[in-house]
Amino acid sequence: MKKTILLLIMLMVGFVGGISSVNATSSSIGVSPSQISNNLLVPGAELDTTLTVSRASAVDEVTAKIESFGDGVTSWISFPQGNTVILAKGVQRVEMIVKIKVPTDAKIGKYVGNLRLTLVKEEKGQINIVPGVRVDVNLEVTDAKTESLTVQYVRITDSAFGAPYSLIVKINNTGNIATSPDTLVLTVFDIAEKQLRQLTYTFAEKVEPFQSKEFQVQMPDATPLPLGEYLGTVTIAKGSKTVFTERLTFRVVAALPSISVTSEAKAQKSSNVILAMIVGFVVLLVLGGVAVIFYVFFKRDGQKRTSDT
Amino acid sequence: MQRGEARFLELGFFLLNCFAFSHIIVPMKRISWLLERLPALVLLFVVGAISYSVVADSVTTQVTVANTAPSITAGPIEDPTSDATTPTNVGNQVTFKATASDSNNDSYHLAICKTNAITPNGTSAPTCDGGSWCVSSATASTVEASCSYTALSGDAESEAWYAFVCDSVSGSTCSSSSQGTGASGSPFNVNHAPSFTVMSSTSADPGGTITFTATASDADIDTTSDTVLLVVCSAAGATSSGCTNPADQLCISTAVASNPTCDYVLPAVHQSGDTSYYSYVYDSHNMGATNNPFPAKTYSVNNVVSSVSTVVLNGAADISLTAGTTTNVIVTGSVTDANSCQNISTMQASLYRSGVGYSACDTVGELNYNYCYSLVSCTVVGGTCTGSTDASTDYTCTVSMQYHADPTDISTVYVAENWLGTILATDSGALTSTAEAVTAVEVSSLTAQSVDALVSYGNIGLGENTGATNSSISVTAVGNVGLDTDLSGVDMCPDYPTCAGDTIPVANQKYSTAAFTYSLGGTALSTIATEVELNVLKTTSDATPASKLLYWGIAIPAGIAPGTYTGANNITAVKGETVNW
Repeated sequence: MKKTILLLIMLMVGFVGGISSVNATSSSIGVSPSQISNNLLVPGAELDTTLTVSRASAVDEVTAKIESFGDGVTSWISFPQGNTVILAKGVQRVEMIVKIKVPTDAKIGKYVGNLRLTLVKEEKGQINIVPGVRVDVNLEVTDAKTESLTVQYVRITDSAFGAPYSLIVKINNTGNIATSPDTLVLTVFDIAEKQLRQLTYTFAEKVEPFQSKEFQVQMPDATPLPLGEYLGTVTIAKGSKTVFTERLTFRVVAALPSISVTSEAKAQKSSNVILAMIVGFVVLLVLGGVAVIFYVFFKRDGQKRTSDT
Repeated sequence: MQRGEARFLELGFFLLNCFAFSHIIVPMKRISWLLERLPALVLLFVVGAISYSVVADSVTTQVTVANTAPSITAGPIEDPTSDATTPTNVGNQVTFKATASDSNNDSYHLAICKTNAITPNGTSAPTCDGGSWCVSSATASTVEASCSYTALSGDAESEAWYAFVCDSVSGSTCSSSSQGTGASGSPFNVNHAPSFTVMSSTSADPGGTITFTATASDADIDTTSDTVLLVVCSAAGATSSGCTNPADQLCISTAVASNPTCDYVLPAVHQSGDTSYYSYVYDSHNMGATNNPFPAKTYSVNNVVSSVSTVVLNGAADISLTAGTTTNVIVTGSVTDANSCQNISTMQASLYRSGVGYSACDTVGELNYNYCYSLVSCTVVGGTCTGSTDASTDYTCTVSMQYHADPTDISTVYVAENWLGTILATDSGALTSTAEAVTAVEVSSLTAQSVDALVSYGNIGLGENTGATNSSISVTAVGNVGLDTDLSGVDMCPDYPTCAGDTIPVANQKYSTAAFTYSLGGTALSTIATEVELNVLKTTSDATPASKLLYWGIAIPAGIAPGTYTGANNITAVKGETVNW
């Protein structure tokens, strides 16, 4: 009987210990993307890259540190959010920004380095394995001017009757000189795909190299569309070249709805509280069971000794 | 001249003739005598007349006064006028009016006969010999009389009538007939209902035209042939001017000789299927067909294919996955259906590497977490489908991408490719449409490892090494690339990390990708990170992630104090060469 109880206790402890031993036996870490590469840098250029640090298990809070290595390039690299990343309990991924600033007197050529992200952890054992991830850095400083851009997306929102048609255009400058598209043409159709009108917007501002910018495009219409649904084709051109075209749908409404704060954040918070309560209850249950078993074991053991004497 | 006056003159002339004979003819020779006695003759005549009248008043006589027929003093007319221009519809009344006067001050009947013959009936209504349209009740002399006739479908378009007035008295007599004059005179005109036998309609797409056709005509041809027109309504209720509720009017035709048609242009957004309508036919005199509205009919709106647009993958940003688990990647899109957004049954998104293409990722059976996530269900973005007249709606689709999905950025196997998404819309009629994202995205390389937390060499004596016994740690690829590793370490010591006293130098540790005997193999660990070609394969299944063992050995220097020595080795995952994935 005693052995049975002991076995139960061991299983219980082993179960509890087993949960925590997940962390003791292995740990994971990952970084995406695995490299920072750019061959269009000019002296004085600035480049921001977002790295996603992630892990498979989020049972415990972990801290990771990041360092840069490489001759001649480590001084170009900085971490605006600091060189440590905390993955809180329950959090599997966080983003961190790596900023590269090329000196104005940087020589033309290729520069190689790397970033190392390593977990800061304390384990009890002979050799602690410190897992980490390496991010390769391959940069090239050039004096060639390259103008290049991509359109990441175009969104159109519903418009109030008589108000300008409102679009959001995100432009990525993938070159090393400031640039922007030239024109945006919005062709409007009715639901039966009959063309109604065509409006043109001219970009005035430019996007800095290696940066992205959201343009708020307002397109007034001298003869406002009546209330209803419409189809639109957006064509963005740079010079004579079409760089982007997309088909959109939008509505002209009597009045735009007001923006209200949703209860989604509150619901998320409350769900987190509920989850914590459930976990706490389970832990208490386990501990209580162990305590009961111990009590029963020692009580019976004491009674037997008394009877023996 | 009265009777008594006539008798008086006859007597006077008789006496004068007698006197003239006795005194003129006989004594012809006595002309002068006659002239001398002329005044006396005259006086004699006058006295004789007076004497006679005194003698007449005082004589008892008897005479019968005869009945005379009344006579029309006004009319006869149709009121309102019933002529070829404004005929009387079948079922409506023609009203005849006239005024008559009777010298005997008798009442009279106004009789409207079908022929020019009538027989009086004393105090009863007269009888038209050839049939009557109507007969009025007895009406006082000089008072207007009227009677009405309800037009029947069997009546001819033009019906002659003859009006008589007959007194209502014993021994009644009738006037001669009158047919009135002008438009209100004979004949009266009857308008018959148009025939309406068949109703049909075409089908059309939303925004298209439905043509309604009625098999209808009107046989009336008096003066000009009657025309017919068609009124079509979405709800019951119409007149010849249109539907009772103008909002219900689908169309109204022009007036034509037969088989009228009218066109209804469907709204740009209209649900597919059959829709009821009510049809009415009227003739040119606003008379409806007897079977208005035509028994319930429906017109058909075709189911048309929808159109997917604005497919965006992960906000058009490159995808960074999560080590060892899935990452939710959002695909959004819009669908427009002229049969309304409610006509969409399902929306499904497929995410795939461009080299695979949608055609190889459009069935559930093609699912492969490395390069194809097929037919993931999407949900409507709340509030974007407002009803049956709303054509467009937005959808969001959540794709759970595995950590080992193929990367497409630099230094990867599929560097020339990228990732695309397609949304498939299926409507209630099983018509489908697709659209692919305009902007492709990259799945970034995720260098990630899961590695054992500890290396334990156990108890080793001073001056001894692990020999052929190795400790090993498992390095598992929990990203989407193959792995090599950078290794580095530090000295081990009892007071790690201070290491103020005895240490086991870092180089006393050796490692290898295969089991080794310490004195014969392995590579010494260094404080400087050294890349090792571990060549862990890229994981292709989360059920069996790829892993490799890293083997370790150690030599304990002689002359150090016994005890537990601790250190730390850096195992840094490095994206391996693609040839070794």
